[in-house]
Amino acid sequence: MDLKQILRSLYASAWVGWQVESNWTEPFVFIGLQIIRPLASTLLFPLLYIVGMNFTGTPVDSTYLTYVFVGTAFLTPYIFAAETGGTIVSQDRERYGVMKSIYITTSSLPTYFFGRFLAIAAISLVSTVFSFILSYLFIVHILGYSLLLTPTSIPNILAALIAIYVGSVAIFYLLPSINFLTNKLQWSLTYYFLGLLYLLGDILFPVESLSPWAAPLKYVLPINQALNSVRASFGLDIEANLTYAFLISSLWVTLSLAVFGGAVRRARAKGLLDKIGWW
Amino acid sequence: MLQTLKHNLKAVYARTYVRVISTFREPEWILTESLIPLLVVFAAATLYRVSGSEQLAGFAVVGGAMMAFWDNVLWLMASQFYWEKESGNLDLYIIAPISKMSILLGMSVGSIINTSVRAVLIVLIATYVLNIRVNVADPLAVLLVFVMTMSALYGLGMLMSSLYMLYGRGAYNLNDILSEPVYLLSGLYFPTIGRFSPFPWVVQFLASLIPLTFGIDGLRRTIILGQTVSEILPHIGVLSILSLVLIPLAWRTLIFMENLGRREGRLSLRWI
Repeated sequence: MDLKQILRSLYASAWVGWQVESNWTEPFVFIGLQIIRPLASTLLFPLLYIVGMNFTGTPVDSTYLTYVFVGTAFLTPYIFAAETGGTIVSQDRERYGVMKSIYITTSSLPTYFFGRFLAIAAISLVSTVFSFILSYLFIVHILGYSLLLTPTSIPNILAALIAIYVGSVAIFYLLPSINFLTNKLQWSLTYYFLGLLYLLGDILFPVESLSPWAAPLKYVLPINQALNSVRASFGLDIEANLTYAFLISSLWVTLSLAVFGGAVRRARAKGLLDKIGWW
Repeated sequence: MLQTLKHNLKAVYARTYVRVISTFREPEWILTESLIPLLVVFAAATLYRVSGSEQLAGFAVVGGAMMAFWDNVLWLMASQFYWEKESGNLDLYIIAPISKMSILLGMSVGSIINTSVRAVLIVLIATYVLNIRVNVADPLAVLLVFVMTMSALYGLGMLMSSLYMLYGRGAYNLNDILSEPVYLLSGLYFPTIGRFSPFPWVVQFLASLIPLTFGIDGLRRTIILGQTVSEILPHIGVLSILSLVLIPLAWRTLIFMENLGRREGRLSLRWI
């Protein structure tokens, strides 16, 4: 397949992704899904921290509040990737019955999935920016707490954001790989995955807070270094390595593409590519 | 009259039976589905611990258990008539010589039984792993708040189910929209009403219209803070009012939506 054909396939699948994620809904529902919902996710844990401190009469530590705020705001791209990645197979294969049609086209499934990811990436970028700004305004101007955001370098913020999206690609290929082989997890896989990220991903607290034994995960998972790089580029004094964030996220993409290819081959061999119903 | 009552009670039992038995046919799912809220509960409790307010970790545990009920109301109550329409059962419910409220009641009772098992598991595992100090001074108060919360919450579920009856794919999106904002407003992990709420009073008032908000707050007060019935009378009052409003409203809405569906020919229409 030449480059032109790949680009056409990407455009077509990104267009389908955009239609599925946006135009099938009413404008009110679109705003609710893409703005209000991520905003609620972003506010949930910073507010938990604030309420906890107020309840115990302890002053709110602005540095830690900023840590939690940046972590939850920039988790949004991962959430979008996990939610769509965790349901795309059940939607296309079981609900709409189009997986087999996509498979027999001249395009490949990885290209189709990447096109769908591009749509998600565009929407999640808007959601991330909106929830970041609106949450900031709520915490700082309505609640009156300070967030220590002093951007040191805009290119660094953008680079860290790209690292986040590279990690999101890995998630977007990994979760469907599991769903190709079983439909038992189509409703729950996303939530298991996100639950684990909340615990291990340096989102709300450094992973070593769980146990010193968990500290190496900081360098293994595709999320920790990327989030910490965003924090560092916003001026937080935190250990982060942007180059390593790219490296580990790219490694995860390579791994997830290999897993994805294997899962598709196995699903084809077992006749699961168009299997509908409970099995 | 007696015959009608008998038929309806049988319908309630039948719908409850299906819901309960379908869950217990694969008991491993009860455990695995309990894991989902547990992971986030552990994260919230760790945030409390890391930030020095460890004594509030129990708040997250109570919220995590109640999160199972909200998810159940959204996905297995509100959307249920939509699923039934897709699988062709809705027509059968309508031609059966029973009130549709019996079906909704059966769904609710079955859901409460199933989800209570999950909620108890979440509380037991989280309490043990996180070493939460439970302080129940008045078990009757806990029971009263729980029963009143379930009554109001599943009243809301019945109302939503009636409203969703004519919905198509939009039901998914509405459920998605209602998940996280309700987690935030209803105070799953921290109090959102009263002195420590981070929200202005207008938002607190709106949050109070969600039965989960007063329910979780009441359960926290009785399970973690050791309060008694006399201290949670406002909670019981609000939950009673919500039940008294929501359940009759669900009934009226169900009749309205059914008639609307008949007129517009949408009761058995799929893929809309």
